[in-house]
Amino acid sequence: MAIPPTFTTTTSGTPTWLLERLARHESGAPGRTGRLERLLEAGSHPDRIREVRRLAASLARAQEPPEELCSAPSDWPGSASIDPAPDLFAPDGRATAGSGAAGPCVFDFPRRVVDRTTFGFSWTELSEAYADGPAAYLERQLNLEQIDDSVLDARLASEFETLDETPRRHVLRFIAGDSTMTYELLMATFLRAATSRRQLFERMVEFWSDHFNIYLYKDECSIFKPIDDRDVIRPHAMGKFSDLLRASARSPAMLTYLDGAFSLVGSPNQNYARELLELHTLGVDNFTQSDMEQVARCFTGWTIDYNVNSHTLGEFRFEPYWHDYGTKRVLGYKIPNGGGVEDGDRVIDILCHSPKGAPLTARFLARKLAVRFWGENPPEELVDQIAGAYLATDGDIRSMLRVVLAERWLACAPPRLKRPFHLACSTLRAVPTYIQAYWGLIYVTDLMGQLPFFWVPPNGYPDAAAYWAGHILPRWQYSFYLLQEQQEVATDFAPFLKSTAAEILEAIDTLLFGGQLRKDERAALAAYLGPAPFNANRIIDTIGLAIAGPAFQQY
Amino acid sequence: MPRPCGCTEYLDVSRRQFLGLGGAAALSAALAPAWLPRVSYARPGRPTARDILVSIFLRGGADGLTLCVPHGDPDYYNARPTINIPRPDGGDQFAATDLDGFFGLAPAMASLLQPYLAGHLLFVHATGSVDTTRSHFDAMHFMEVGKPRDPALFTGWIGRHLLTVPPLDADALVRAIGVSNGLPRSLVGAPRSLPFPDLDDSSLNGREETKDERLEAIGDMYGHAGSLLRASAESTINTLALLDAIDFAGYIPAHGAVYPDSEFGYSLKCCAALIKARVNVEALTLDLGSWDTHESQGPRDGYMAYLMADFAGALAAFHLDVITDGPDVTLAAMSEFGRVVAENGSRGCDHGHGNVMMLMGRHIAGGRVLSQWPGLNPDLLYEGQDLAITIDYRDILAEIVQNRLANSDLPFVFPDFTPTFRGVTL
Repeated sequence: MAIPPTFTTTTSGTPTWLLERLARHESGAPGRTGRLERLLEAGSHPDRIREVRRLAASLARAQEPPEELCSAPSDWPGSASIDPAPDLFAPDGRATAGSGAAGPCVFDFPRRVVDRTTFGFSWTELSEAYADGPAAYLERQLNLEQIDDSVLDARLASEFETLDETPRRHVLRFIAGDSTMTYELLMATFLRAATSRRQLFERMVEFWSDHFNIYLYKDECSIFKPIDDRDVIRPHAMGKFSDLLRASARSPAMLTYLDGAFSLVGSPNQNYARELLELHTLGVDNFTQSDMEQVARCFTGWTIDYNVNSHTLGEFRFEPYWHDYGTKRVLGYKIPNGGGVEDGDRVIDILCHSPKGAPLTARFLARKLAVRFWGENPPEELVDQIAGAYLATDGDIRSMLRVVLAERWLACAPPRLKRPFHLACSTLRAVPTYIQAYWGLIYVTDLMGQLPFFWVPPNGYPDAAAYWAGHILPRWQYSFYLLQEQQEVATDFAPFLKSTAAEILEAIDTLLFGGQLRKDERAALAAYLGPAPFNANRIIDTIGLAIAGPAFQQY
Repeated sequence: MPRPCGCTEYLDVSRRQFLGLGGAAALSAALAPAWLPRVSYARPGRPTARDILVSIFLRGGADGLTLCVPHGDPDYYNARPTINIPRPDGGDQFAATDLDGFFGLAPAMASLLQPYLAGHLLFVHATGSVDTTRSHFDAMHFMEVGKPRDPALFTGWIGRHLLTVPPLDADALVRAIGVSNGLPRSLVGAPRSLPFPDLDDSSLNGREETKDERLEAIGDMYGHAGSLLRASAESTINTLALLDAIDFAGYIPAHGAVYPDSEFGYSLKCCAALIKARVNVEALTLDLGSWDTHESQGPRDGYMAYLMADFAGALAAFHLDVITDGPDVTLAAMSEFGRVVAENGSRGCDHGHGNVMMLMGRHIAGGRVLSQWPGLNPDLLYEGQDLAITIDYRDILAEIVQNRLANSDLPFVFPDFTPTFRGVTL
């Protein structure tokens, strides 16, 4: 697997490999089909409503009946051939994970909290957790407004130009052949996850970006996803779930990704309605075909402003002429006729707050949170408790997190395999690094299989070790790449460049593992290091091996 | 659904086999060709029980009406006034070469005439996945999964095939390789299967001089890991060692076959080398992309002609090199959907439905175009615009799985589908 030492770029500054990567996602490149141009032409026509409607009808015809791609797939790669209850840590036989089975309990609970609420342990976080105690540390992470993140904010402001721009500006950039906002979203995602002091918040941003998955290169999503990240996911990631859902339903990126933007009375597109019920709230099998059809009718007319002369170009727009004003019935609740945009809001209320909807949504979210923060196959009691927190607080996300991150549960949680993006960030956090350029980082994370916003089906990147464990070579490549491409990610090796093996291994143990390097891995690293004297390359390779080893792949 | 499968073989790769690659290999250096200098797993004379599968996915929706031209259907020329391949008899420099009086090959595909005339190349027309989607991603997903519209099914058809047959060789280090970044969906679920985008350059990166040593250290560390990670590491290290031992660059194709000087051509050449190394790999998948010709399709001497020449040239070389007298191989090439029959205003074609498939092998009933041609009259088109599908692509693949890959568990490989065999195998 050749990793180019330098990244050739085109005149527009886009690396050639990315263009090749994107070429494999052609239908997602709007310029290729002229889809956006047709939409804007129609959206700016004097008889805009009729024109867009005509175009929407033709696009809707070409669109498909809703695809439901994924719900808790039972047959991920190797799950038929690999033990479904992976004992990630234990050498043979000592099961640590399974159906509700906990791992060995940890006694260094501050360390556990840091491991589970960050994109990788670092001494900055661990010192705070030791000093203040895990409970206070956790509360501060939950109240992110109180965390000073000015270093990151300053860096974001100096490195990126599109993060604060309007949707209109992004559409105009795109028309001019400029995709800066798309690339900056990718880069900022790495920078934030790796360096933000609001680590739990960043983990939750990742969680909701999976939950409300949007594939960056479906139609115009490359224009709209940066706004979705800024205005939907981030403001509500630690707030009320219903606010998050309401914002997501209005997100042009979601309206594009799940075809809601072209859902008309008489021919409602059911794609969003299905995923709203199945993947965003109730879960599969908790609603009927009729519920789904009625929900689709409620959201007719929820679309995007495609008028290039409008100040709200590229923003949510309710098109009253497209709306189905008839009576609907969802989960048994009647939505009376004559309602407009409030029909969709009423659906969201039913899903989030109603006696029939809220318990289902609560449990669905509770299980996903338990899997993400506790581990696979979480105990039912834990799921019940998280769901109970949802119901007691009308869907307060922080309250749900307090349950799953409590010592009672977290201390004995089974080990988790880092997903590739997590691994990438955790390396940047453990080793003293400074990101100077992003393309290499994006490239190797793509090779590992988890470039953010590149998962095509609506269920988000899988959260199961069995899915990720087979693709391990790129993880090894990553560690050696990272330490050797100094023009991409500058690393300060000084703490490791010592004269005795004991000192070098001590530095690795301390910085990468917080003092918890396993004996067998230490022995393997010592064997590789060999006898003194050590040259720098030997030491750097040893750090790479420590990252490539199984312990660092888990948390 | 729990199946008797390769579970134990995946988990029980022994420690000996893990690092002791040499122990598993019966070296027969005397018989090894020059390009295979350091290793040979060949067991000469041992008949293979079944074909090796080479599956090629033409990504982007390749235009089947150009890949195999229905020059006998006048509606083809009505629908494609500017981007057609002219009739064989017209004397045009870009005229099709006739195959059977109705279908023909574009000039850029002419190199496939030899395998066709040898009876080893079969075209199946008006075939494809009956799924109605026009989204590339959905269409590829369902085609590679092997069942339309099943939200729960995540394994691929080749993956399920390999799960339900014993390994060709119990000691084989790797059963399938996806020549791509990441395992293609069709291979998901397959035991001992890995992606390697470049067979000739698959190794640990970093400093060359310490590569082997570092890999050994990694193997050491993963020897102590839990079963999931250990099995993955063993499989990866073993396969790396295997690929590293083969001198792909020095491989000399048989019969003077010349692969195109392209990424795809080189990938297929490396596959030929791997197959001839007789390491008992059972399935290889390759991708050839960029068939999404919405504008300026250029079937005669433009963009698509360039793509076709690459594709056809590589297949023709592989035919000469492997199919004629090499190990038993069945090659299948398919695309997620065809393209709209009528050209659009940009001299291209938009996403369509029915398409052509190509099969190659000594045991393929080739030298013909298999089709129940539905016609291209606008009244006969699928949704008023596309070539209709009269043969489900799973009919073709299921027959190969049963007759050439010796797997009769078709209900598992293609769930909820009763295939109709079309006589594509000998």
